[in-house]
Amino acid sequence: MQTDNMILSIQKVTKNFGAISAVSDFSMDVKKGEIHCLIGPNGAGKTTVFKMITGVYPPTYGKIYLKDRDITNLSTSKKMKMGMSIKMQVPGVYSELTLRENIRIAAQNFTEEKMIEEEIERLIDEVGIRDLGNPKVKNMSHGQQQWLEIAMALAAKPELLLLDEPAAGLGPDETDFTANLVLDLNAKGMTILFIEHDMNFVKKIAQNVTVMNNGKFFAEGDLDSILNNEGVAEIYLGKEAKVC
Amino acid sequence: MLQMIYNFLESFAYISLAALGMSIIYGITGITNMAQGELMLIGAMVVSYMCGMARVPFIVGIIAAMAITAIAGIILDRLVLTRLYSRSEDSLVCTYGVSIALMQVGTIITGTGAPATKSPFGTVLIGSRSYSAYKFIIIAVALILFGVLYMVFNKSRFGLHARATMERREIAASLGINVNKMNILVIVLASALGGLAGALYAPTMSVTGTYGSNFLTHAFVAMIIGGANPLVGTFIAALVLAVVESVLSLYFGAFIGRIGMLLVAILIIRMIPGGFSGMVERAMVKSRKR
Amino acid sequence: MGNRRVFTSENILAAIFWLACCTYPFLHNTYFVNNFTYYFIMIIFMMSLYVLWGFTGIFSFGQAAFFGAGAYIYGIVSKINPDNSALNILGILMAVLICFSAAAILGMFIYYGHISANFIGIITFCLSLVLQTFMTQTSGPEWQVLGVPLGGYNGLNAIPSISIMGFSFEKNSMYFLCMALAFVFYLIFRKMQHSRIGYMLFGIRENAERSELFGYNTAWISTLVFAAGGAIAGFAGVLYASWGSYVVPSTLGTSISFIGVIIIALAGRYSITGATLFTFIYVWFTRFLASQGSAYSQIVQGILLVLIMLFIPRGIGETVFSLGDILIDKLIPKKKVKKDQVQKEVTRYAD
Repeated sequence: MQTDNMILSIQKVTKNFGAISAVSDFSMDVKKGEIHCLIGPNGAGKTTVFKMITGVYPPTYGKIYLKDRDITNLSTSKKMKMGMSIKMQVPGVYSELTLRENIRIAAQNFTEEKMIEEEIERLIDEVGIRDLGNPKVKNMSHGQQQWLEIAMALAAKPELLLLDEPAAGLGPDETDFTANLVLDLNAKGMTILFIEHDMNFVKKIAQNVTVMNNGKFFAEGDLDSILNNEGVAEIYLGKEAKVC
Repeated sequence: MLQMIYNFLESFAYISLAALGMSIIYGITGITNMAQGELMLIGAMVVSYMCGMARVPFIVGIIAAMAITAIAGIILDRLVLTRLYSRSEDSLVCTYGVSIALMQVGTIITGTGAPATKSPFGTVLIGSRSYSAYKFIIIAVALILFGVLYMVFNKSRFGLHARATMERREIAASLGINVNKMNILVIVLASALGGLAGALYAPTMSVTGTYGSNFLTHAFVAMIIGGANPLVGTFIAALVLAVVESVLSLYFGAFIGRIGMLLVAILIIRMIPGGFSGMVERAMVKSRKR
Repeated sequence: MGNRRVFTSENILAAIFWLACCTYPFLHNTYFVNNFTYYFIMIIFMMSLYVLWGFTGIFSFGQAAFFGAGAYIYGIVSKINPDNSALNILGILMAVLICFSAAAILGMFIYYGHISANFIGIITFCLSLVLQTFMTQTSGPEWQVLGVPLGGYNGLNAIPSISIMGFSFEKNSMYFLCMALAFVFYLIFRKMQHSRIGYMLFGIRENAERSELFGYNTAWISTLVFAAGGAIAGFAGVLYASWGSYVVPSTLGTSISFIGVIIIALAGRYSITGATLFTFIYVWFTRFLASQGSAYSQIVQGILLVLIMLFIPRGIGETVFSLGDILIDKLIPKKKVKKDQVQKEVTRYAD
């Protein structure tokens, strides 16, 4: 059911790979302006959901709506110009090119040529990576590459930003930096949907949470209710954990 | 009719023998070995000089060819292929360089052609036509080879490791598989097969530096549509391509046969992602579900 | 990005090269000039592979096929009536158009059919091989196209030179034509390296799937680039047929592919100037070896390719120019180098 409030509406999507059902009858709505987190044990199907949103895998069944438009079967390159953008789990950056070349490539489809130099500098400041200079990306640390990729994702001027494990591999300071960055972006009106395992990070920034397990929808609610949900603890730790 | 069947079988054997070595390397290590043709050349040269010139019994020549080519394969692996396991996308260009160099070495050694070997076993009369009995032997070898390789892959420890690596190359090592040892065995196997193929066909063609390129198109094409599994994939690919080639060359000549094979292969890989291996796997998964 | 220095080693070497090319015909006789023209044709051929492999990461063994096809098509059409210069122009146009279309069709098959990029090299290799073998056996009189026998192993000869409005490009005029064309291509690709199109292609080269997520329709772009590569190779073939007056099946063959591959591997896929200069050096060097009767040149070249691919995968062109720039910095007195230029150096070169 689409409403003006929803920026992303995933309706009963299923993804089958041959006989294996990676995602099964999963639904999730993301409200405009919220920070929404998708969690679940490893293999629950979270990244597959992201891949269906971006079009890397077309859903076997089900529909996906972005701002009330049916994007289920659109090509990836079309979808990614409709106001959403993604930061991948393994840094999706061009390691052999320089920092600025990376941002340029990300920005080209969204900024006119004569404005592009300005735009590159603006994105560098927005994410706060100016003091990195202009190294070749493969010489940057993992955390720096993550931030670069966020800058690249912002080049699309998205209303919806997808982040796949933004805290993965980051130390506590870096995690804080990223968390504050996400909060700033959200304060400016951006909707954030992210996948995460690091519960500290989730606690810092998530407003609403959807939980997946075994490819299916498991639970949904605001941060507090999910944190206190016994069923959720169970699927992570197993039933035996309750006996202690 | 009999002629058609014979052509088909001959084509099937040719494609299988040409493709098996290359498919095994590709399926298990991800490397495209463009120098496979030159490994076949080595096998052919061994047989030519041992049997054609030195009058050594043919069967000994074949075994020697396999052994020497296997050694050549190990050298190739240690020098070049080892460094390509993590960079398979560069393997085509790299092995291309090897191929060019070895081709020239072959040309220098064989000049206008290595000493010719006579096809052993003479001819056989079937119906009203006489066929080379040797060709039947080759066909038999190809079929037996599939059987032997099936045993190796499904009943041996090496085969188990190989299949696991094909499935999940990245984590093979963490499964306790000695990946290095396995890679060497794979190269030895594939090289020996190349040497065998080259040696078997030596009596039927002139052996010059470019001997290997006769086989390349067939090998590549079968490898592409065969898919990830070098046995099942190559087997079905050889069947399909042999039909195409034998039918087309009967009516339009050998070259149309080749072009047709290539075009059919491009069509097939377009329509069946993952090649025949992928198709078989999907069918097997579906039947298990029932 | 940002303002670039004018006096880089790359620019200086390029300027020296092209100026030298301009003056060459005035200092040498026709025989040498004619020979030299071949270098420009090879530069254009190399560029057809460079836009594919260097810019976009598409490794194609098929450029030789398009090169030969272009030569054959031009040869056939212009030979229908060698005195008719309209046919001549038609030949050029048809060669380029057919090569473009054939490459586009193959490209669509591959990119829209999601055929693995690994297989492009293999498929194009097989195509070249099959085409070459096919053309070799077209020696019978039944093998004729538009009244022109294909000649099998001996190919086509007595191909007329390119002529426009009655003016026939031969010897010196052919030299300048080929040089001008090579120079134009050089400028276009040089400009592309720092342009929107260039960066778009680099993104696809570095990571096509990721680029799709930045809004690039990679299948469409790759197909278009592949078609352009085919057309440029075909055009080089036209020049070749006109220059040499003959084309044989081995022109379609893999040996010319090899030259393109090793030059770009050696020069690296990050510098068109490097690739251009290397084409010149390399073709000169192999001709020199051939004239010495060296039977070992293929072996040396093959091993060279292996070594480059294994140990210097980025090629040496970039490094040479970087070193050259360091040298220039040392030669120019420090006070002439302005502060903001130094700052821009930081943003231009990677650490």
